[in-house]
Amino acid sequence: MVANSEDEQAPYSNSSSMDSEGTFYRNGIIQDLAQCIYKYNSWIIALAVISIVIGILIGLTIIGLTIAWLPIWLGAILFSFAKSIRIAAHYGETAEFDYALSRMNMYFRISGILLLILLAIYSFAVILGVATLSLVL
Amino acid sequence: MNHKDATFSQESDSTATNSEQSEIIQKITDRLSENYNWIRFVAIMELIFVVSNIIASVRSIITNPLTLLHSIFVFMSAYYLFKASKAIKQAYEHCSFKHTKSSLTLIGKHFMMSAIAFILSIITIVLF
Repeated sequence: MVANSEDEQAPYSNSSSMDSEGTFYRNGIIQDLAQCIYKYNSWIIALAVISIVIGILIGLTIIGLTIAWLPIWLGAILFSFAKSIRIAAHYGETAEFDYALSRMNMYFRISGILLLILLAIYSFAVILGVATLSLVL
Repeated sequence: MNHKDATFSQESDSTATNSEQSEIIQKITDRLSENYNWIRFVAIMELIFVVSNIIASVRSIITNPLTLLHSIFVFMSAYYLFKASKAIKQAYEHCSFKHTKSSLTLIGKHFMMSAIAFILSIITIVLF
């Protein structure tokens, strides 16, 4: 079987605040993994704020109201993701990390759908422009 | 993707904790692998978006460097997502902590690039 014990073991041996050995390792792993994303937490919060602002700006138009809720929802998801990652990075809570990963899953789904909608609008505008141009000429 | 059982070759007193470690890593890689298809999809969509944006606004890219910079950051964001999806695949197949860690770091970098790209697009809209 795969012998990747070298990189698997090293990072967890620096915490000593846990009761049992099992809890010690569990928190060490979670904390270590959460720290990887926590470094970019301020950017995640910035992205969440921008998403909400863009959502509000899109929502100002009547047609935009139909898709304005998507970036706002995306921003809300990113906020809860950043919060869960912060807790997981500080306290090594497994449940919070799991919740953060599920939020991340949701974020990618929604942003995929949003990008698909944007691309559809974009290509529709291009087709409309080409059609108008050909009619004029 | 083929999921290997996460066991460690080291036979020592800490076998129980090692199995617990591998169990946790396996759970995390399982959770991350749920994202795999969506991450690739978002990366592809971002690449299509960059290419179509460059084709549609060649003139504006030449005159306005911010547009070019925005496209570069969106491209970087897509690139990090591709790398993250690769790392997730490897983490899932080998149940490796190193790959799980690198996939999470790459996802974090993607968030950073996306935020910068969004900030640049807002600046472009405000200025021009």
